[in-house]
Amino acid sequence: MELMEKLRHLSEVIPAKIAVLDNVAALEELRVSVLGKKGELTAILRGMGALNPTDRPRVGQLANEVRDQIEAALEDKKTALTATELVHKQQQERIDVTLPGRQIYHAHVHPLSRIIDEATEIFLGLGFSVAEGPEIESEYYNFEALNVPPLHPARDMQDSFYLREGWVMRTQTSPVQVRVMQALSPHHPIRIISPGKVYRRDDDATHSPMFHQIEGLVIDKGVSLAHLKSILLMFARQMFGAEREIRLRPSYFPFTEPSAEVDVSCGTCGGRGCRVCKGTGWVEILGCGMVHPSVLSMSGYDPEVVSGFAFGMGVERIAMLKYNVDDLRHFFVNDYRFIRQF
Amino acid sequence: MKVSLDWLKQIIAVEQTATEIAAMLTHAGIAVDAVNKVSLASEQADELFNDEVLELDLTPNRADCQSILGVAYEVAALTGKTVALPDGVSVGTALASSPHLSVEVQAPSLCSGYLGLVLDVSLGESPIWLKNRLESVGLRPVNNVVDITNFVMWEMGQPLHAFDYDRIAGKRLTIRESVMGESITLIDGAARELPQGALVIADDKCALAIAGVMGGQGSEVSGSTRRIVLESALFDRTSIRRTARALGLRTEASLRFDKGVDPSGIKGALQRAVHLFQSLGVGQILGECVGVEPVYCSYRHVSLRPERANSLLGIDLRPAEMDTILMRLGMPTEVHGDCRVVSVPSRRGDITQEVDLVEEIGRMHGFHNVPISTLRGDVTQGRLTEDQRMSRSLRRTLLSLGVDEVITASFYDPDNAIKFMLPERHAFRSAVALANPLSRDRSELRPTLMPSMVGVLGYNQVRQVSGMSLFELGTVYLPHADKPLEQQNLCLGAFGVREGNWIEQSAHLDFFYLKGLVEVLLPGAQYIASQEPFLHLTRQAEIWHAGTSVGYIGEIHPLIGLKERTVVAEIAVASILHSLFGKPLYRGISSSIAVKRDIAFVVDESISAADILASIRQAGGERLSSATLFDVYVGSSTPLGSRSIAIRLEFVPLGGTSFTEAELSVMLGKIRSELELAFGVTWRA
Repeated sequence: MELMEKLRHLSEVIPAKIAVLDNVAALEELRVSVLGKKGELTAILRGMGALNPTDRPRVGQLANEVRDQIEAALEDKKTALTATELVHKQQQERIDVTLPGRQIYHAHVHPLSRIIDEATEIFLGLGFSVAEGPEIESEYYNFEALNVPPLHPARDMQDSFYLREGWVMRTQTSPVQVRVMQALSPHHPIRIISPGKVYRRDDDATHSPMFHQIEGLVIDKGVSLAHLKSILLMFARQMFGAEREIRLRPSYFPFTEPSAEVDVSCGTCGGRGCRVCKGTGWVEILGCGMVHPSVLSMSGYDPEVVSGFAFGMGVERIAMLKYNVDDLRHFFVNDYRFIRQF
Repeated sequence: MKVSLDWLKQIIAVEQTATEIAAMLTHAGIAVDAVNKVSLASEQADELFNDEVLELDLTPNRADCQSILGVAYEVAALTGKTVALPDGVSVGTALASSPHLSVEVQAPSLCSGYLGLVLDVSLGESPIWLKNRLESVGLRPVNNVVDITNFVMWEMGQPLHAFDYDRIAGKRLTIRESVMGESITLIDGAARELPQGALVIADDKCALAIAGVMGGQGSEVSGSTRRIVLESALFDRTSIRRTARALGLRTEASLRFDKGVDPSGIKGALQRAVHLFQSLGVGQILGECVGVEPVYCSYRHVSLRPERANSLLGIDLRPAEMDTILMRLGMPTEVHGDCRVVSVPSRRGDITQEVDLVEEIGRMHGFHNVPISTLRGDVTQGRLTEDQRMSRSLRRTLLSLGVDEVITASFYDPDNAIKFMLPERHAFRSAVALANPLSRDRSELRPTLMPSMVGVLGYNQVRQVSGMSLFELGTVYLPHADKPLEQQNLCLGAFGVREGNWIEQSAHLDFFYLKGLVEVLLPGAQYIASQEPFLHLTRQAEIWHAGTSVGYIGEIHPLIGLKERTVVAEIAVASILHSLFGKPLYRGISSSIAVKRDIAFVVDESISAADILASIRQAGGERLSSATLFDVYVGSSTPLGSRSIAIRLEFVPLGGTSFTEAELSVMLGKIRSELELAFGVTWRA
């Protein structure tokens, strides 16, 4: 039984050869030499016809077994080699993952815009709308309608820029509030904020002739100082942090009465007193008060029927506190080393 | 206003420390900025006189606190202690005539009270305690007469003035308005022309003093003075304020008159001064007090509804508690039904209506005692207007495109006309002028954002930055017949490169970078070569959109003096908003795949890309979905004066079918022959 011997030989020799191969190409070569048209096993199978019929089933069975065994070994080896080669290929493609990425420039919003956006979001959430108006105003809207008649000492507090034609650069965004009041009086309630540029004739380390303000106005029946406090507390906590407190100190503005300055507890020292808050534990952030009855009635509301509160803050001041900016002038110089920090 | 604690304690017996008083006052609305310790000389040579001084930052309504006495009333209200009037102040003393002096008030509307008293004085130095008082609050001791007047002003809030009696011509004081061309030499030695209508104190010859502002040299108390006239008067606030401003003189006296002095105080101040003259042995009265007494009410009646005070403040005080608060402020109340009638003393000139009393109750009760209560009422929808929403989107779009935001001042320098080589009548030369500018370079309002942008870019160019791309959204101010117009503009500016790295190439922030930004903001705009004097002769264009000129783009002119090539664009925001952020409408996506074909040709360089693309689009018809210019080449293979251009064409078949080669070549042929015909192009392989 020469054929049987050959088959047994193949079943020993071929798997041993497969085991030592290390690439897919050589494996394929081996497969062809055994199982290909001219392969050794193929030749044996072809030679089966010459066997006597009694031997044929035995030899045939063995031949099939050997073929299956070799095919399985080839397949296993191929799978193993492919995996190894893929690993090898990836090893060849190694990169230094610590190299910097492609340059993608992300732009910087100006810190004042950032504060205005943030404050706007806060007040939109509290049901306020945003009102805007001209920067060039009449004296009526900037002063008279806000309870500051000509020669009132309060006009000294805010020396203003005038145009040659007699117009005034608004010294606060309150004229916008007057326009809204005139449009909505005598019945409609109001909840607005008015952000924008304002102008005062002042120029030193702590004053810029142009700066930004956000003012707020609420008018409705039964509005009180207690409501003002709650709105300001919500604002201060959202703007500066949930742990902050506020306090109101009585003050004076012609368009509100009672009036107050509002301090927020110092974020640097948590209220214990430090250099930022000059040891007081508090920093001033805005002015506010109950809308003066004369302001209400000048704009068409009946102060016996409705009341209101107003508040106003300097955006630069809020930005300086929030971002630790030490010099007001940075905001308008626009040095790249400044604006790229925001 | 400076308040000496020791002085204050002479008037009110407070036990609190200076710091405690400062805190109390601050929480009641009299802001104390600082508490400073002072050490001065004392009668005992080896000891110092120690005191503490409160620096008040008074709001303009609290004229009453411009004196130690006024602050004492406030402290009394806060502590419940009582005020003891300074020695010498009493009620009574009627006016009489005097052989020594007569007073004539010719301007009664500007001077509602004027008291004059003649005294024999012996001039000398003040005692140390008096000098200390003055020095502790920042006043300079001069001589015993002047020191007493200053002392009384600080203590009582009523400015006094002393004239040298023997230098008054005719022994008659006339209070009148100044006449045209009148002048006076003041005690500071300066001769000043008086503004017409300024209130003056004059003798028979000339003006001796500017009422309520400053005395004149001619009647100044000096070494030779033997007799004085002591003046205590009530001058009109507005008049004093106007005169002081016109002359640029802010004196302690003018500040007090400007804010308003207590009409009931003029006699008391005179009495207090006389008491000091006598008790210090400085002077004796010579004759009676002469002049005009002011007419005033000691108390003003203001009504208050306790319920209204509670509802405005959001508190719940009983009316009796309000009575107590008001009583401590020296304001007795009387019940009239639901209402209180409150008697307000004349020193509190700021309290004239109910809301003023509400404020008094609020600040005395303490704003910290006002509860926090949530705003109620109808639910309101907080929202942005369409324009506000779009402006925000514009800013976010620019940021997402990698452009940094800047904010610059609205002021404008008329010399920009020179810097930017603007000819007569150029739009950027007609700016709105300020009547009272801070300086020439900020004397107008900007009609363009460009100079500010160039300023910021130039500033950064000399500070070692490789490149920047910036935008500003701001108002420009355009002169107009009645009121100047305000318009929102967008200014873009860039220079240099955005630096690459080991893997990324540097990107140039040049004209075509900026134009790329504008193309995002204004799709479909046209660019027409323009002639702005401040831009590079051949690298600039006017931007047209929807049939109107909306701005310009270009490289800054080389003569403008920037270190680097710099590009700017300025566009009216209104033109951008609706084209970019209007409501998008879905147009449907073709199910067929687009077919791409490239064409390349050589063409005369005078033919603009815009013309070539327009003509291709025209010839391509509706099935040509896009034509993209992807290459421009000038080199050895292109004839002189011409350039090679390559364009990628994309065709989309209609109705979900696909093109046959024949159809494609018909469409391409049409485009090719159009280009040959219109521009004489020659084809490249």
